Amino acid sequence: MKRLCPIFPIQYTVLIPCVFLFFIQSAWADAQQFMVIDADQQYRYARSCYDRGAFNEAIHEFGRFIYFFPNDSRISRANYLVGMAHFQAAQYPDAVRVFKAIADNQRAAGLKSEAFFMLSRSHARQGMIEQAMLDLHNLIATSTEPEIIDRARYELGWLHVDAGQWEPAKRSFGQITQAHQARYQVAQLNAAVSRYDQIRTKHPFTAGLLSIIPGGGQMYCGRYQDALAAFLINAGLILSAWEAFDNELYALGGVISFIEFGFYSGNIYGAISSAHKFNRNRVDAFRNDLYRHKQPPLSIAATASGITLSLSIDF
Amino acid sequence: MKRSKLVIIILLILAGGSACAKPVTSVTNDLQANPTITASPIHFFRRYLSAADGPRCPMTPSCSSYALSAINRHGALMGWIMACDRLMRCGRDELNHSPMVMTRDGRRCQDPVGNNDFWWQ
Repeated sequence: MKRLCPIFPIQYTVLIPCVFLFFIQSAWADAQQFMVIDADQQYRYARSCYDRGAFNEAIHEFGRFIYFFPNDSRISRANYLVGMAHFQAAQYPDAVRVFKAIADNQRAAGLKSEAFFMLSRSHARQGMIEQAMLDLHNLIATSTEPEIIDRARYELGWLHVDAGQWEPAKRSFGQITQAHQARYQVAQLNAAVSRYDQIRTKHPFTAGLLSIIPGGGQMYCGRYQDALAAFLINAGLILSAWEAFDNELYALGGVISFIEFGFYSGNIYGAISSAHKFNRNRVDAFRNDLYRHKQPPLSIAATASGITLSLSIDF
Repeated sequence: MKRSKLVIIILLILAGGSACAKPVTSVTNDLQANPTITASPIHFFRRYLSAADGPRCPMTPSCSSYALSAINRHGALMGWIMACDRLMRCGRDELNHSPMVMTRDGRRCQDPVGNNDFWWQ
């Protein structure tokens, strides 16, 4: 009977309390390691997410900051950065929602105008150029700072350039006050925009009309290979249909005529389309030439803490 | 004699297999689902002729894909006209005017329907 449980009472009575104490100590040590994140840490972490390009994470972290520290003085800034993170992540409808809220918020006075600019850009990125222009008009109407108004006019001018509205673009650039004209290179810009009437274009109606003779419109648009192909295909099909009807092969003639209808219409359509594409390419080239004036290669501007030197290089 | 018969049978099997093979060009689901009679010759071409011929169109989307897209977007008449226009332009001046892009079949000239209907859409 003694041999069945010879050592249980002594060894286990020591071992079990030891294990129990070990776990209690571990739990106590873990409990000592919890940390409290204050507003500074949370804001810094959210900002670091934004700076390293983790925009979705930044949106969550700034959201956490706004939720847990609603009375912090950086709430407006955090909201603005949420909008910027949406914008950088190409989530433009969400960016619009955030920037609109900031622009409508009377307490976010410091960021109101920036929110208007970003609201306009978010609309423009969605192809809503008219709405983007309206945002800037609203900013011009509500702002009292000449600096902001001139910047809005400058951006408005570029939106008109994007929309191919050259005269309104010139007007917008021209409305920039004398004090800021040198900074925005208004004289050079207006001189460049004024050359819009020198853009060589092709008339789509003329191209279509010339295509009555297959290939004529394509030749007018400078597409000589297309012109030759259109002429040969259409001439061949017309000749084939003629021969078929002449030999009383009416079914064959009908089929060839049906096919020829498509190619003849396609020839006219292609000529008109070519003229439009030609014009589009010319306008794009003109616009790209204008964009060279958008960002001066080297600029210097005064800031609150000193000066900012900016160098812009295309690569 | 037996050997020549065997060669002919093998060649016939190979030719039939090639003809029945599916197109190697990319086919999107919306294009495959086009049920109209107008699109049926294009489906026939893609299934039996292009499958044997290979992806030779120098444009992307290929002319047959372009035709199906045009018919889907603008109906049978305008689709047919736009398809004929594309066939006349294929591999010619458009190569100098539109950007070249890399596809799984090699470098191709990008000319989608949107590049040719933007002015009246």
